[in-house]
Amino acid sequence: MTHPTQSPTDSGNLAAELTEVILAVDGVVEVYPAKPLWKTAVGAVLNSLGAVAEPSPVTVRDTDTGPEIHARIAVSGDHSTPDVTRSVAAAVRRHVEPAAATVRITVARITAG
Amino acid sequence: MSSTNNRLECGRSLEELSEYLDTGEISDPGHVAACPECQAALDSIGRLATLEAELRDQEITEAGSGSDDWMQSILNNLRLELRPGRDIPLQPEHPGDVLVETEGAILALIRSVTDAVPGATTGRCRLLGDVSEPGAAITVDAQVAVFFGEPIAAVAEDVRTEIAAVLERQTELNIAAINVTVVDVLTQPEPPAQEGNQ
Repeated sequence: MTHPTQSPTDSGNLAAELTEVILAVDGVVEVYPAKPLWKTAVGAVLNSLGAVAEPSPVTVRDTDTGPEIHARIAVSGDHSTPDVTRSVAAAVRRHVEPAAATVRITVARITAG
Repeated sequence: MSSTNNRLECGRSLEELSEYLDTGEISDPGHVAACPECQAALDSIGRLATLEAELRDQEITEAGSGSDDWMQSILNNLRLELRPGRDIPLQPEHPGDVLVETEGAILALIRSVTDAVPGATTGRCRLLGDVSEPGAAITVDAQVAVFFGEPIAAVAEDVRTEIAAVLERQTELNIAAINVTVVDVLTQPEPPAQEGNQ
């Protein structure tokens, strides 16, 4: 079992880089916030005040065994979603090498082809 | 377009999104742009609104076709289908990676291809079986309305074929059966060019 530790600065930079990496994969049309702000209590308060902070599109957590990376994406229906998703995971892994990352990709939407 | 208790998990209602389509105004457009459920809802509501306008133009509602009930039924199903739902696994290339599609993404995709079949519009769609278990046998249960005058059996077969094709391309589900049930018949909207020809 690993015990995640937060390193906001490094993880934030990496998350921003990974967003660009993922968007560059052919067939990816959107990267959504991996941890929707509106699902948290703080997010609900901010929403009610009309002051929603910009969430990071990709979540990066540093762990003892390497970064855990999570992204939610939309894929174009003109492409094979399974193939695009595997390409995204491979692109993320290449970007963080030589670190041994754990990658989670969630396809939240497939646009009409 | 009326609805009650049609809120998505993110808190936005189908009414709010419908109004956003009409006016371009919503309290938090940034959320809508970053929310896959809202975007899928906008797609579905947009298609539904077009169909509803075409039907109303022909005074179908006044003729007692029951289209209002049909529309409300679709809205009720939309709220359920637009939830993220279960995770549907994809085979990773690297051990330990977790690649998934949400059930909501697949149901929205099925709805979009079914609505694109000439003569049909989607009522509801469900994936029956353990979609989170790779290789598990899955049954697709789709309910559609067919426009009056269209060959019902042929339209149903077209719907089944389109669903099979999109699931083959966009998922790794083991589809055991696709059940298409025609649950209503709607009067076919007239093409705009045929003015005055009922």
